[in-house]
Amino acid sequence: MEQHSKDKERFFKTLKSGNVRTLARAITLVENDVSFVEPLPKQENYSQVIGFTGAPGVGKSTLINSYIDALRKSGRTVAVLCVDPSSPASGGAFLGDRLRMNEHIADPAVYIRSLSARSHLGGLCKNISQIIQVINYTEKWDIIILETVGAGQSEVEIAKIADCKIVVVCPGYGDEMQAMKAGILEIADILAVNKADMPEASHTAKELKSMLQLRPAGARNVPIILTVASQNQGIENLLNSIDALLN
Amino acid sequence: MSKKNLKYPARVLVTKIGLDGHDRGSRIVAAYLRDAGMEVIYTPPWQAIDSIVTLALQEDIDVIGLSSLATDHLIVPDLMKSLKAANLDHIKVIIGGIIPECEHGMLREAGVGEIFEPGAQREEIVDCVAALAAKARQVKQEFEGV
Repeated sequence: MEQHSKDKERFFKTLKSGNVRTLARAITLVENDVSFVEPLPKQENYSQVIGFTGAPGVGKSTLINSYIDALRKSGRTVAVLCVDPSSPASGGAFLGDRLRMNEHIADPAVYIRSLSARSHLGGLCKNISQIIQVINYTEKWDIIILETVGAGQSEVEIAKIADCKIVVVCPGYGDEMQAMKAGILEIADILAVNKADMPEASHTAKELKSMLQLRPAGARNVPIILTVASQNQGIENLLNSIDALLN
Repeated sequence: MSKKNLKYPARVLVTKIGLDGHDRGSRIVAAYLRDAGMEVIYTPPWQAIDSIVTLALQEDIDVIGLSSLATDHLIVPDLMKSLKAANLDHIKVIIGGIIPECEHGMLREAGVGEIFEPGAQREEIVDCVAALAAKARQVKQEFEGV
């Protein structure tokens, strides 16, 4: 037992030193057993957590890929956690979000990790807070980006965890009645209308704006940003809006 | 299908290195493994060896499954060397596809864990990956003590 706690101490020391292999392993261990992080000190959060959520196929991963670019240009280190759904039948998962972020693979200041939701409802995975705690502990990553599973109207768990929430929609996602519905649009700090080169984009932005106007007086300002992630358009605007919220 | 005696899902990278783009095989195997309860990180073909090594490092991979249909397996020994250089030689590598028998020896010598030829059955592949994943985890656990 004593040997075990010594081993653990050594492991956490290596983790703190910034070893990526140890970080990857630590995330697996926490994913499997939450008690693993118990010895870690509760400390001030080092990393700022940015959450991206939205329906499947709106371009969350592609938008994150461009956002990573912008963050790297501003000199910040980035850890990305991409959650994909697990199969309800087998419990297995096909994790493919990082494919769209492959251009950052050679950059040691970008860490990307795929996570399975493991049947957890809410858009993330069960031990996500503890996984973030592990990354915080290393004090190596300025920004943690969280990508939820393709979310519907009730996967709002990210609201509790992220310092800044970006809800990504794309043109033609539904009419004004959809925008009126409570849920995911309500948690947004920023609304990103991605694929804004599609003809209905300005219409979608207008509908979202009119939804925001129905909120009570004094409600916080929610910027609506048009982006074309695949062509790097609107990304600087997105970066600046997020930074404005963080500071 | 069962989780194959693993306490937690195996983490498997299914990929193709080299210049061949025929990815039907790797997709089918990825689906087999997912349906056996494993967590599969899948990439499109044409991956560079360095990218695979970094990906395996970041994702805490247990087993790498490579598909080779057009001599891509000839660069697998280079991959094995790169994994070793990155301190990742606990990761087990298996290959499936068109692998001439005369090249099996060279691959085994380089450290490849298993070779699957056309006609390999779903159960065989799943069992092999599960067994190798369990071994990889044991090595990791012994190495890091946690």
